[in-house]
Parts: sequence; structure tokens; C-alpha cells
Amino acid sequence: MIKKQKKYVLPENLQNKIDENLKKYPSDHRQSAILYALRLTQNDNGGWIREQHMRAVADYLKIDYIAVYEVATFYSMLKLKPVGKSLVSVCDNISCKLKGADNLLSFIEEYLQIKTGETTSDGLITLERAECLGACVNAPSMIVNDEYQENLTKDKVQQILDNLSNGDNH
Amino acid sequence: MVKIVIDGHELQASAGDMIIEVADAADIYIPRFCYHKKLSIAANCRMCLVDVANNGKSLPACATPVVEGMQISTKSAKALYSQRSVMEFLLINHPLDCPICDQGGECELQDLSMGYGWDSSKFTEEKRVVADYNIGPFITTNMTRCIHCTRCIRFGKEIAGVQDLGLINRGDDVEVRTYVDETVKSNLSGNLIDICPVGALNSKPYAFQARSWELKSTASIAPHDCLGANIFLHTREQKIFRVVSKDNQQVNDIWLSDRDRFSYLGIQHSERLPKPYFKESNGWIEKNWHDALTLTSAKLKINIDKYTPKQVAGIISPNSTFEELYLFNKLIRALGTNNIDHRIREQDFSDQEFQPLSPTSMMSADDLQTSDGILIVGSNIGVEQPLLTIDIKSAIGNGAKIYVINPIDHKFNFDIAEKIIVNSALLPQLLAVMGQYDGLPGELANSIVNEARSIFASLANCKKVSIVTGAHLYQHKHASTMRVLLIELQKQLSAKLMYLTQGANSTGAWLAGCIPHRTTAGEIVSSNGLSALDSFKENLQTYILFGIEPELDCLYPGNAMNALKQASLVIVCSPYITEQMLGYADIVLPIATFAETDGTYINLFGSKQKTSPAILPIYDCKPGWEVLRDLGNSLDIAGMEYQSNQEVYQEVTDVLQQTKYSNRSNLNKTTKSLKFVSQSADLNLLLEWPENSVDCITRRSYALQQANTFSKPLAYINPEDADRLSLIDGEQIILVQQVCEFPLTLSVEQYVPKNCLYIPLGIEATSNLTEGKIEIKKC
Ligand code: SF4
Ligand code: FES
Ligand code: FES
Repeated sequence: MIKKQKKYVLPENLQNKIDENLKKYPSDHRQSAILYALRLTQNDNGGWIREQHMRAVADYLKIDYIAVYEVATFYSMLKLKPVGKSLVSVCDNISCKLKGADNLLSFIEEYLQIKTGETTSDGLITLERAECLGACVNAPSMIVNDEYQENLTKDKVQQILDNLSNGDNH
Repeated sequence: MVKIVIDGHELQASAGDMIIEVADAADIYIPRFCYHKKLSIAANCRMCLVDVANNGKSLPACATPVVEGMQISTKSAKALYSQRSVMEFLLINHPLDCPICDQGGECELQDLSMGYGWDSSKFTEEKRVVADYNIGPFITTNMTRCIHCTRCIRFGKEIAGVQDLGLINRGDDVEVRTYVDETVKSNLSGNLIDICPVGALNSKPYAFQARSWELKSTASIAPHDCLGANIFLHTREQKIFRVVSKDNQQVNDIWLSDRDRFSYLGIQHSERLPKPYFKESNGWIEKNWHDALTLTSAKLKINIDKYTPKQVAGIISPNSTFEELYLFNKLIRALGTNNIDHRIREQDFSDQEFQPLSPTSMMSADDLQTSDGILIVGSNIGVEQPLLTIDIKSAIGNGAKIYVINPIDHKFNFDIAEKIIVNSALLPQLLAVMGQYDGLPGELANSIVNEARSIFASLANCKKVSIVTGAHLYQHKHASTMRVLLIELQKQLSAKLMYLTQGANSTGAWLAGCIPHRTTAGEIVSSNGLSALDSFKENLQTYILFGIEPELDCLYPGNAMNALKQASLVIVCSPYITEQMLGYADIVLPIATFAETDGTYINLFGSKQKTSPAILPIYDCKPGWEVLRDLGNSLDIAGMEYQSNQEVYQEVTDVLQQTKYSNRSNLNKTTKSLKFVSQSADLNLLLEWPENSVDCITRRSYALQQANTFSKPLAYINPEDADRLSLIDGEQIILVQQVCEFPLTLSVEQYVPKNCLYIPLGIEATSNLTEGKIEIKKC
């Protein structure tokens, strides 16, 4: 018995936004909207992209699935696995590293009892490393839920994490 | 034109050419990996660095256009240092596993590291390892060997028209992969094996079978479609190890379809018949050739005496060689009958008298590439002729627009400007509307009429139009009406017409005379014989079959089966023996496949292509032409004493040269009454062969069968019909005809038009299908 699964299609509001975005590009360059479409889908689906979403984006843009997969795996901002309610991205590139990013990262790992790349068991916080955030002047830095946190110290980080654990997203 | 100097040679080049192209033309070799003459330029491997005077750094020859006075050195100390450094860099993560790599001996990386590398590396760190994954039955992956040249990816985008592979992740995590866990989908995927410069993508059936330097190479033709791609068969000790493509600009360029590349796996199959096989009162027994021939001719004579020659029919595969077709014609006519045919997939022959000498297309692949408007009528071209889609893609690259008229919404690997999908019963009407033909039943919806007119208008504005037509047309109940209308359309658009004919040698079959109304070179016979389908419907006494398995090869296999089962003598010349065959045959004579014999195939453009045997016929098989000759001799038929196949070829060419008419086509609307049917409430059958089950050889290639789509026992209908008949997707149904029933699984698909029942032939589940009404019963 072969049963076809019901296909996920992008909801209309996303389709409209993508159409709007497509206007910026030549009409035969629909792949230009992949990144935008994936970010929209990610935000619309609890912060991560499922396989069916990549298919839906490809189908909507009328491009091969692999073209979407390439973009989705290239950018670290696009998540292909579930993330916690809050996302903590700690920079470990050169400036931050010189200012102790490694220690900071292991401190967070210990404090949250997870490894980099994992999510706390209560599903609240996901920890990841990030490439240079362009905030070297105030290294070490990290991004928490789209907001920059700079000149970090252990105390400051602990404060931020506690807030997140208490359900305060910002 | 500009003047440049490469390695001291003064050369002329057109401005804008890349250094590597100019060097290639002058036979100056520059090492390369990512550059490939048929693909776009990526310039990502840097292997082609050369020293250009007055430039600080070495420049990539594949991406540097020449300018007047350029002084280039490909072998200066600086060039060599750059090339060696790149080589060292590329080898950092490449495993040293050449001894167990199938690419070894024909590997660009191996060769270039010998020629342009250092003998040792400064790299002592750990190498990167990348997991392999399954991308289908044709290709092995060894992704640690990949050097990320992206040839495979560009091939997908630019040649195959489907991007199967891509680069995922980034930086030192980068990997070439398919989408998540999918296999490659393109039916041109085997070319990836050739195009990958290293051992990352290799042939799966050939894996660990042989080393390339041990193999002997024989030029041949892949006789599975009417293009006849040029191939090399690679053999060792009477075994075929693989097939690779042979460059021929006019036919297949450097490419092969998967069907052509992997069909060889069916040649040395366990169902090959070792010796002549005879049904006797106490069962089947093997015989030697001498006895077999005497006995066959004796039985044939008795049967003819008893039932008259009119009760004999000869049906030959359109994949046979020109020589076989000619001898078959000679033999059957000498028996006193005109019941001879190769058109096993047609049902409307009413225009046969008006047909040209052969259905050869009066155009070339080049014409297709340079057309600015292409109309595809009734063809799943990507399945029938995968390689022609490359030509269509290059036409699109030059700005051509493609229009499609089909009885089902086939998916194509190229962009379509406009398409009209109608039930196949309405196809003739649709063509008539396009050609402004009046006097129509007028059943088409207005919207469709308007679309048809708009396509016609767009085509009329094109400078060079090609019309391509294929199986959905020649298999059609009213094929002749459609042919007439197409010729009208062709005249109105001053277009070129391309017929994708059945089998590999339809042109050869027409010229040789394997048609019931004309013999060799189109000479008219005193009274028309029966077509293949009619001879089955007439239930004759004697059938001689050559190279076909009627239950899988004929349009209405059930009709063939019924006829063969009741006949008193069925002689089959076939490479294989099957259970079914034992059920209807009385004598089976084992013949060689294309790889074991020489012969000629005439392709759709009319070019005569010759093969030579790559291996000896296996067991006691004989080449088909020898069997026919020997049979002719033991029947005392005059003029069958050939010493070689070449003599046969010479004779038929002589006969053709003496022919008075080169082309006798007078198909037009006055010569033929047009037939239009209405779309009835019944489900209209639409039949198609799965792309890898087109003949007895492809059906036996395990790799091709694993990749065969559309070969499952499924029946496809439109969602509206499913609702109307209260059927659901995935449900078991039974198709009922007068005498037989066959169970299939229902698949409800949007791409099937209304009132259509779309089912595969060439598979066991539908091998009893007969002409006539069909009904769906619920299980
Ligand atoms: S798999 Fe082969 S063709 Fe593809 S990028 Fe790697 S080396 Fe190049
Ligand atoms: S290195 Fe951390 S922000 Fe630049
Ligand atoms: S061949 Fe020129 S960069 Fe690869």
C-alpha cells in the first residue's frame, strides 16, 4: 500500500512575503529568495527548519531541493535541528578568544550542564559557538535571541542565563 | 583576433577566449580539474595556474581571457611552482588509496600528481574523512576522495537539467551530497562517473571488477532507442565489464543515457538460452544446430503445406540490425506470405500506403539545437530519448521556447514555455485546431482552443521551428490522422519534423522491408500482408518471432499471447528463454545480442552506424543473421548463401541504390480521411513503457531495474475520476477485460488527465492486456 503523505505547503502569508522579496530580483533568478524564504519559515516554525520546510520552499520557488539544502546547511543562522526557547551564540573568533571566549564557553557549558550545540533538558536554552560577530571592540561578545551582549564577564553571563532560565527572553 | 605567445609558440586567438581553450586548440597541455569543455567555468581548483608576463601572481588559465600580446608560460619555474603548490594543497585531504580505487589508472588526480606534483608533502596532520552514502544503483560514492571541483554539480544544472548533487556545509566541513538522503534522479546520471576527475563518483556495477588497463575496448552502438548512442564496450576474457561513451558530435556528443550505459548487465544474464530448444511430446530438449535447423525447416514446411502460407506471420524486433531485418524479410517473403512487421507498438496503419520510404527525420541534432521554437507532440522525450533533451536544453540556452502537447503531464528536465495536456482521445482534435483545420466535431473547451491558437501564433513568429513527436503519437488509435495533421502543421510553420521512432532501427526496418505492404526499398507487394497486431488478432497457425518477447514488447500483449497459444507452430529466435516463452513456443533458437555480433543500425537522422562484436556469442548462440541465413539455406531459399554479414549489407545497399523513389510521401489531408473520436465516458487507456524496460536486454539489467520508475504494478488516474468512481489512492483494484482480470494498485495523480487510465506495459502485471474495453473493479 503506498500512501502519499500530505504535502506541507508554505502558508499564504509567507508566500506573499516571498513574492514581495522576489520582486527585487530578475524573474529568472528565483533562487535569490532562498535565504529570505528560509528565514521566514524558520521564524514561523519555532526557530528551526524541518525537512518538509526545505521542500516547500524549493517547490514554491520552483528550484531543485538540493539548492535549498545547500543554503540551509551553509548559514549557521539557519537551524536544521530544534533549538531551545532562547539561543545563545558565543563568539570564539580571534578577538574574543584573546579576551577569554574559551573560558566563557566552558563556564556556560558547566553552568547549563550541556555541551556546545546542545539544548538544556528543560528546552529553554540552546548554546552554540559563532563566528566573529563584528563586535570585536567590545570582546568577548555573544548574541542572545538576536541581541548583542558585549564586554562579557562570568557574572554578567550568569545573570543573563538566569534571566533566560526564568523565562525572561530578553 | 589577437596574437599571443604560449611557451614560445605564437598563436592566433579570438579575444575573450580563455587561455586554456587556446592552449588546448594548439595542443599545449595545461593541467586542470574543475575545467571541463562542456561545462561552465568555476575556476575553483587553481590547478591550471600559468605564468603570464607582467602579472604578479600566476593566473588560472581556465578563467583568464586572452588579450593582445599576452606572453604566457605554462612551464616556467613560477608556473611549475604554482602548480606544484596547488597539487600539494589538493592532496592534503585526499586518501592514498589508489591501489583499491577503481579510478586508478584513469584518474586525473593520479596522472597530474605524477606530472605536476611534488614527491612528498609537508602535511603531517590528520586527514579529513567524509562518510559515503548511497545515491542509487549506478554510482558508488567515496567522498573522502572528492576534491570539490564541482564538475558533478555543474553537470546536473547545465546538462542533466536536474540538480541532484550540491555542496553542503561550508569551510572544511564542505561535502558533495544529494538532498538529505535522496538518490540521484536524472537518467543521465551515469555521466557523473566520467565527469568526476577523481575516484569520488564511480560505477557501482563495475566496482572492484577489473583494472582499466586490462580491458579491451570495442566500438559499438547502444541499440535501445532510435538515436543509437556511440559506445565502447570494455571487455576482458569474453566478459563485458562496462560501457563508456564514445564521442560523436552528431549523435550523443560525449554523453550516454543510463539505459545505454548499464544495459550490458543484461547480456550475460542467467536466462540466456545455451542451445536450440525444442518442445517434444515428452518435454523440452536441447538440440545441436544442425538438427535444429533441419527440424525447424521440416516443421515449417509441413505447417505451410497444411495451412497455406497465408497462415504464417513473421514479427521482428525493431531493435534488430539492418542485416537481420533484411534477411528476415527475404526469408518470410520466400515462404509465400506478406505477413511481416516490426511495428509492434502501433495500432493504426491506415496511412501506411502514403508513408515515405522510411520514417527518418529530415533534420539533424544540430537543427534541433538551433531552433528557436520547438513543439513536442505526444512524447515523453526525456524517457524516450534522454540524450535529445541535452540538445533541447542547448536550444533553450540560445533563446528557444518549448511548447508541449501531451496526453499526460510528463515532467521534463527543461523549461517549458506553454503546454496543453488533454486526454489522448482529444489529441487529434487539438492538432486540427492548431493547424486551423476546419470541419471538426468541436469538442474542445474554448480555453484549450485559445491556448492552442496562442501556441500556434508564437510558433509562427519563430524563425526556425522543430516539431518532435514520439510514442504517444505512434501508439495512438488514430495515429494516421495525427500524422496527416502534423504534416499540415509542419507546412504552415515551415517546420522540420522529427519522429522519435520505436526501437533502435525503425528506419532500417522500413528500408529492409519488414512491413506488410512493401518489401525491400519500398517496392510494393502484390497484396498487403497483415500488420503485427492484425496477425495476432487473426489467430494464425504459424508465427516466427525474432528478438521480441510479445508479452512484454507488444502494444496489446494479450492479443499476442492468445494468438501464440492457439497457433500450431511458434518459432522464436531469442537470446533468452523464459517460463512464458515455454508456454507458447515450440522451437526456440538462441541468438546473439548486439555485443556479440556485427551489424548496422540506422538512427532517426538516417545515419548508418556499425557495430563490431566485443565478445564471442556466449554458449552455442549464433548471431541473428547467421541463424536466418542457415534457416534460409535449409529451406532451400535461393540467394541466401552469404559468407559474412558484410555481404548481406552490400546486397541490401545495392538494392536500395537501385530504387527509383527516394521519398514517396504523399500524406496529406486529401489522401486520407481524418478520424476524430469523441471523448467517451469510459476511461481511455494510455499505455507507456517504463524507460528501463524497453527491450529484452534492458529488462534484464539489475541496475537498470532498480532505477526503473513507472515499472511497478500501478494504475494511475486523475483525482476527479477517483472521486467519481469512489476509489482511493493506494487501493487495490482489478482491471477487467472480456476474458482476463489483472490486479493493480491505484495511484491517484494530478498529472493524469481526466477520463484516463494510465498504466505501464512491459511488466508482468499487464502482460495480458488486450485491445478493447477495460473496467475498474474494486477489490
Ligand atoms: S564528486 Fe568528483 S566531480 Fe564532484 S566535486 Fe567531488 S571531485 Fe568534483
Ligand atoms: S572575534 Fe568575536 S566579535 Fe569579532
Ligand atoms: S581548471 Fe582552472 S581553476 Fe580549475
